[in-house]
Amino acid sequence: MSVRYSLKGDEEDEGYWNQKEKRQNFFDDADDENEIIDWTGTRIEEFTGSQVTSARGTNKNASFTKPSRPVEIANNFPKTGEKISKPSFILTTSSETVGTKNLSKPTSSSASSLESAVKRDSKLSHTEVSKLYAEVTSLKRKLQSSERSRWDAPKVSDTIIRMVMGEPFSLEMYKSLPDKLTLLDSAIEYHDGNSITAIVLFLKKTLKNSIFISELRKRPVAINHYAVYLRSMGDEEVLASQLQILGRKEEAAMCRYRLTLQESSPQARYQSMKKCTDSYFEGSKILHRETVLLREQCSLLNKQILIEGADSKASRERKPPFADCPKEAELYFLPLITTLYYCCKYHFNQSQSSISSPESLVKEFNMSEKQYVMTAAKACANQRKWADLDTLLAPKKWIMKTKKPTVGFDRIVGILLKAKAPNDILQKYMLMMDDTTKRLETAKKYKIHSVVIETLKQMRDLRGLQNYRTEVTYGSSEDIQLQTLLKNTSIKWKT
Amino acid sequence: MAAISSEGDLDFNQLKVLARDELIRTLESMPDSKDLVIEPKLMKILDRIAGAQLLRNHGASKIFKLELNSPKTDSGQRMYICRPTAENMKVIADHIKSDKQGGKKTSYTVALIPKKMYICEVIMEEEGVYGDVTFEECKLGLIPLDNDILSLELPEFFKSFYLHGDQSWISPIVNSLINLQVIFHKIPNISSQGRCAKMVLEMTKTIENLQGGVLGDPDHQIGHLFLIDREVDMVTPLCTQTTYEGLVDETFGINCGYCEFGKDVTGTDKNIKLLLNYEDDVFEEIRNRHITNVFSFLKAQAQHVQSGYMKGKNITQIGQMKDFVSNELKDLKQQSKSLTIHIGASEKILQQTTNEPDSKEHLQTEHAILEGIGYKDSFSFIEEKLDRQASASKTLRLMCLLSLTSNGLPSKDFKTLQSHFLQSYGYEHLLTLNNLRLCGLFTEQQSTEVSKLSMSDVQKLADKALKRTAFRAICKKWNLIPKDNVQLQNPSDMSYVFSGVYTPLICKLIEQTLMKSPSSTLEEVVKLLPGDNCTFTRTMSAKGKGSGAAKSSSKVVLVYFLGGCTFAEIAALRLLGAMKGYKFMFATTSIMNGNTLIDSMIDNGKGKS
Repeated sequence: MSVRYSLKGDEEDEGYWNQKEKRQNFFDDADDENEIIDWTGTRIEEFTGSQVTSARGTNKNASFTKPSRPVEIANNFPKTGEKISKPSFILTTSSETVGTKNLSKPTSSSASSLESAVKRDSKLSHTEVSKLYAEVTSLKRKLQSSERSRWDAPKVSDTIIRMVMGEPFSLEMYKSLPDKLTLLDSAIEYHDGNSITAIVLFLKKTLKNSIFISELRKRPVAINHYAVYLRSMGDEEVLASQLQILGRKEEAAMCRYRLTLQESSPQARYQSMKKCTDSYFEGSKILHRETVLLREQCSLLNKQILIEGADSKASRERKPPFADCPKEAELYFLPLITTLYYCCKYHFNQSQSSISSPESLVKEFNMSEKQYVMTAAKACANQRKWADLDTLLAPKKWIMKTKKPTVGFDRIVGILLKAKAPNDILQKYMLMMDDTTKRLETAKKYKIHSVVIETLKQMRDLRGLQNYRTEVTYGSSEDIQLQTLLKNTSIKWKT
Repeated sequence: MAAISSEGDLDFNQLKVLARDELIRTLESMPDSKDLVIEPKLMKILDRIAGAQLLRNHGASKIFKLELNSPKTDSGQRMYICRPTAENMKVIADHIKSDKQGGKKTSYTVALIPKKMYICEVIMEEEGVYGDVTFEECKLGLIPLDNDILSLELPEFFKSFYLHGDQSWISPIVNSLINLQVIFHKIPNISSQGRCAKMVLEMTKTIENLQGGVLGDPDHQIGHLFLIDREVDMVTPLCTQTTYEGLVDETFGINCGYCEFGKDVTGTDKNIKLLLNYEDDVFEEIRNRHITNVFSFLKAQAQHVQSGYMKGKNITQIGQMKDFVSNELKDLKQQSKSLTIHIGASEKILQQTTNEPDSKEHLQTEHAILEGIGYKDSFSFIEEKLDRQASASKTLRLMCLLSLTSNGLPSKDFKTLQSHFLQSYGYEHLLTLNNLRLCGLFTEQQSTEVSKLSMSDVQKLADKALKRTAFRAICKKWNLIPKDNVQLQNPSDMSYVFSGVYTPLICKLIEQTLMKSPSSTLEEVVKLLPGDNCTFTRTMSAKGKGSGAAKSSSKVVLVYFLGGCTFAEIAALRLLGAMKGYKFMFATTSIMNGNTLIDSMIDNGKGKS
């Protein structure tokens, strides 16, 4: 028993007791206040008042360990009891539950005070006194339990329900690891994201990092909510590193990649992208494809830096190809196809060995013929370089590889239409469209009469030709073309 | 609580009244005059419920948009109305801190719609302004957008749940469901399909158990509830809708029932914002029609209006004239205004399909993909579209459609489209493609080395494979892709909403469940759908056992879409209802279409992830 009194001397758990000591002082202050107020009242009130203080004392224990262990309640009790000896004595005599044995000392020292008190209030009969005792006992119990429920951890299931229902709650009292984990697991079971987040953050705050991480790793849903929280806090650096330790390497890598995109200077972005690829992507089997693509992105940026460096200098010095038209926008961070367009626009006929030639870009990035032809055609059309377009689309090149042209002429015509090419150019390429129905449709829509007439002739559609006469201006070259055809008897028209 | 109107419809007006009351209660929680600072996204929602005058009647002196900078005002009281997001809280905290620095004494209330989330308090505490703020919950759940559509107006839900696994919004959904059942009484029959639906159902049961009301109610006004995950059918939102309402949404964007039409549509020098719902007679008539069947009606209607005006010209007696002006003229004016806009809008929609050189091909490709024919052509069409740097989101829709219908693309094709996409639109869209992959929208067929797997892995893989080949199997079992031509003018098949090419899967699932198709076929298909399926009927409360069960309300069906629904699906179910004698009501987290879906997935590293 004496051991229990000497709190500091306990060898069982130094930290435990020390902590308690600190809290004890805090409560002692409160006790003093209670004394002043409570002792001014009648005796019975005194009893209840003291009960408050002692019950609080009890709870100091409860908040550190499993609640309501009688031994510890007793442990704590004498400390407060010594200070306010009268009430604590009354308590012990009237109640067996609190652990009378431990309190035998104070009981004997103050037993006479109760007797004298009863004598003074001589008007009270014995039954009245015992009634009062009974009342005191019951009040004490009520207070004790309400005080305990205030400071003790309520049942996990109750707290979770409060959280799900959006009522006020507190998690501070859950000190034991199993309690914390039960909390988390029940929140997950209830599917309530808001509670899951709250509990995860509570665990983060109150658990050692290694335990926090290992418990979270067992619960993917909890990780999701933790990640959502970190993302919403806007700190992607933290998000990435936490995902990494939580075992979500791929997700973390993508986060890191995302961070590199925040760099606004091309050189800095190039460096950080390279570093990111090396440290978080390279070597991962799952991220193999991403690694390849990131390397491509790095090379592209590197290429853009090189071309931009040379071209902006040339542009400043008014050297070709910027002699008469200065460079407009910067090349950095533009997509590969747009970069190709740029190279086609300014460096179309440069030799393959030049870094800014379209060919070198196509080769380096292993681009398809289709990608090249369509982009180059667009550049030629927009710049009205019809001869270049001709060379580009000349069939010779293609016959080597495939029979069919890589890009259908319907696509080329689409590009030309978008570039608002003159009629003769449109005419020329429209006639190369294989699909006559589609060709007819397009030619009619854009009123390229000669193509309509030629196509109708090819389709041997006499009725169509006759009907089309209304569309053509009388006496124009198309009209003459049409008239000649209609008179031509050698054509076998479809009937 | 009579909530059924004469036609047997549920009266959603009651919800509007409740929402208005809740808003008023929130406003009055801060007595006297105050400034309101409203999150821009919520403006339209508040418009639908209240309007500025109501806000002013309850103490709003000045109204501001929630922006980075604190509003310049001297009022001593300020109320923020916003969603419970971390972003909003940080902005508000910054406002408060800068106000304090400027020596302003203001009291702040933060009203959170629809509930206070834990992070709100955390952030205010961390920012050191917790003590300056009074939190208030403004429990606005489902907003009536129309006489048969309710929406939580949470377009972010799809991304947050399916991409990030964020379950924070489950509870607001559950609350909305519980509130609906307070007004319209407990729904006796409930079916659910999908992950989210399961969570919602379980949480609803938990709360009902706590509140002690799990039993059915004989006064129920809704006979059947369907809770369905968007994830069950991702094909539908990616397809181009062909009903008028669907196309208006895809072309102009309908936001909380409002649609803003540009000058090219209105034919004036002003943009016009129109509320599109059943109150607009012209719109009500054409909304569910196939686009090819809209113009003829509008033309006839225009003639009708014209003859109405002519009638006015021929009036000789002054009494008749007075009558005409006060009654008919007003209607005619209203009609002609609405006609002008709808004619303009349908013109614009049709123009789009003719003017854009490849839009016809695009639609043809989409149809070929759905029918599962001409894979190679579709593939090269998409590839060329990418190479031409055509509209990214439209091309992505096709890419995802191709992937979904082939249950993931073969590795080689996947890689080709992946790199062509990145080369045309920028490598940083790796993030976009990653999002699409995680949501199962654009995936690569798995080639796993079976020898290295354990038995349970093999089982899991087999299940996955089963689900993966699901699309074609389901199409076949339920004839989702009609073989015969479908009537588009007078539709009798739900697939008309996609020009007779595809029947929205969820609508078919609902039809099959309601029609009580042989449970074996239903089971066979349901097995292939993502997530769990659950169907149950509540035990009736004692007082209900005696009363007659067969009543009109059992034909009222509420469909709750979790993750969004399209106007096409709504139109298809409206048709089903008309044919089979059901009255469908819709609830959804938001109205969506292919563009909004794809846009929510796009991430090029700028802004928030």
